[in-house]
Amino acid sequence: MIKTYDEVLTEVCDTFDGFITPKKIQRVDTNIVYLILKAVSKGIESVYTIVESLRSKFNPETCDDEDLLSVAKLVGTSKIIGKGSGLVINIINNNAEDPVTLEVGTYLFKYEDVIFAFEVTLGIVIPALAAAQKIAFTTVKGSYRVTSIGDIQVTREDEAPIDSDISFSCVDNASLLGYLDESNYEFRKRILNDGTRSDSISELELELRNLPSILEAKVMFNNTTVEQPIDDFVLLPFEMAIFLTGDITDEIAAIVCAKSIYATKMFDPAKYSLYTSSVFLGGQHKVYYDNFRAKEYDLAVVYDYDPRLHTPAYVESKVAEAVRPFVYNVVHTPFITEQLFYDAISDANIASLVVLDVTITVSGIPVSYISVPSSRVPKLVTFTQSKAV
Amino acid sequence: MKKIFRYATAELNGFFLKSLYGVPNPITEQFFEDFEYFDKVQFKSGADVFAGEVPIQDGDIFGIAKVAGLFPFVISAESLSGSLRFTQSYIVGGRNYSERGLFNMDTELFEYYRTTEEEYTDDIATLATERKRISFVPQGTPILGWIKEGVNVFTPEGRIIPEAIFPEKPVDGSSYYPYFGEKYLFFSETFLLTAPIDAATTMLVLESMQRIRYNGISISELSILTQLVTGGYVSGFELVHNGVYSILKYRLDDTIPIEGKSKRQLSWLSIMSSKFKTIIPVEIIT
Repeated sequence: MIKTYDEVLTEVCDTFDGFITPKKIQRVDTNIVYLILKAVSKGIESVYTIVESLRSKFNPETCDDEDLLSVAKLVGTSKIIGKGSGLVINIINNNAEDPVTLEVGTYLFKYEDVIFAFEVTLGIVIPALAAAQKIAFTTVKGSYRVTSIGDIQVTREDEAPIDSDISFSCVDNASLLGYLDESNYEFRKRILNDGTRSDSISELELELRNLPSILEAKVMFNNTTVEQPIDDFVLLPFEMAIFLTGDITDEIAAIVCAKSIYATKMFDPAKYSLYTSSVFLGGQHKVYYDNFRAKEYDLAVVYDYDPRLHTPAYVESKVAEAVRPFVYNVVHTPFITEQLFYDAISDANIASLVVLDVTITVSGIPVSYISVPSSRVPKLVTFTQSKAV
Repeated sequence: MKKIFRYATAELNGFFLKSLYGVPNPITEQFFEDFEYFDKVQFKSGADVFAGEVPIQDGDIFGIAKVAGLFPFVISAESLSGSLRFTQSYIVGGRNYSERGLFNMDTELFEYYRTTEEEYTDDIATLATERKRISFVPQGTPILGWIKEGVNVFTPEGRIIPEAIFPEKPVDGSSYYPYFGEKYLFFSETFLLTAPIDAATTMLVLESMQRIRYNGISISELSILTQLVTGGYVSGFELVHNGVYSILKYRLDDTIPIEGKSKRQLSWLSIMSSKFKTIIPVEIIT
């Protein structure tokens, strides 16, 4: 049991009084003996705190954050690492006759104090009037939204000039938004609630998701001897389906093959990551993947608030901002429930606002919740809000 | 720069904590066991510690396992108390001593007694205890109580609930069965119990999971963890490849004297299911 400093101090002083009875110590800060007892009490309080901390050191429910991270490091459990936001940049050769080369180097695009960077490791040769694409990522973690822009200013990190025939544009990055590192609170909650973490498929999923260039990853595996229909496709016996969002590299194949050599479902013959090894015929093994599809839904919210405190325009913009993450969501969540929106709007802290009704519809049909398959990412398409009459 | 001073004041190397334990005072004496535990604790179970070491507590094992992603799962196991069990004939020197067997509840094996005596003065039942039980109830054994039909008399771990035993025969027309005490196995069908796995088994499963996490999956790791978790109870491997998956045929060796055979087998099957996705274990029953 933890005793407070005041409780300990009272006990110590009472004990001291017992030694000098019938006299009693003056419990004022001008009394040096009292000051000494205060120092002793502080030490005793530290001992109580240390013991209590030690007793719960290995209990993920009650240990402090430092101990939780320490034990997690011991057993190899890691947090979900945050990601910078991605941005597809088009590299356009405006020369009508000659090809142009984008030289090796690091290229930067600055948008509203946020820098997106991409690296060219091998010179990119672009034919006349053609374009190439690279995905740039922000140097900081988090969600940074950029709409499509026809002409953007890209510079080299070393400030060397770029061929004047080359221009750049970017594509709306709503599907490439990043997120922050998993907080200690979220980490603890996941440890206590996620009972699948020791499964090798879950481990693979987390490893893929923690790659710097991958925003979201889900892995599905059919460990039965019969075909399994899932969503709009069928998984053959002992076949694996991998869904990814982000920049695909051969590192993905290396991670998958480090677990085991699985048969991966081919959704698109061009979508694969290559694992090179002489044990395979042809010296390589293709790990197929697909991009996430969207599970679209609409949302209608009815609320009430004191009109003396806010204008309708203010409330509408704050509520729209509160649900915006659901519009640009890139992360898979297994369920979409009404409670998510109650909580999101409540977190906007709009004084006097009370959410009265949340209606989720799929293809126009109201549902109480949405079950989202692992191959899809929930996307809010149409959002309507209204004040109660 | 701060670290130098923190080291000098013993904040970084546990010197103060060890001192509190080594030189107790009236305040720290009440926590002596806590300090001793953290000074001497090893990641070992009770049977494996050396002198000067303390085994890790059950709660700590479950906590570490939970952080590692292993939740204490509930498994089904055969009840040890209510089982009708058959044995092979036990013949010594051409003489059949099969009836002189007592069932060891810890090793889950029959052990035979008085196998050198052709005649003996009293029944083998006099050697029976709660941990070494006899199947047959000798005539004249006093009835200690009555088990009423429909009343659950077992805990999830298969222990008798004394309060569930009726002192008198039920008079409401229900069927009943005499209870002679815990020295005797019950004549009933084998039934399944569900119970959470204990800390010792959790520790073995955790160690196996961690081995896989760091070393990856392989046939050699499969062999190591099988021996670790089942102690040889699961053995006789034969691997048959079947395209994209393999079938692992195995046998259960009932002669292995280990505790909790069923829960060890089920724990092993759980590890196989979560780590070895392309291997299907199949028990060969002979």
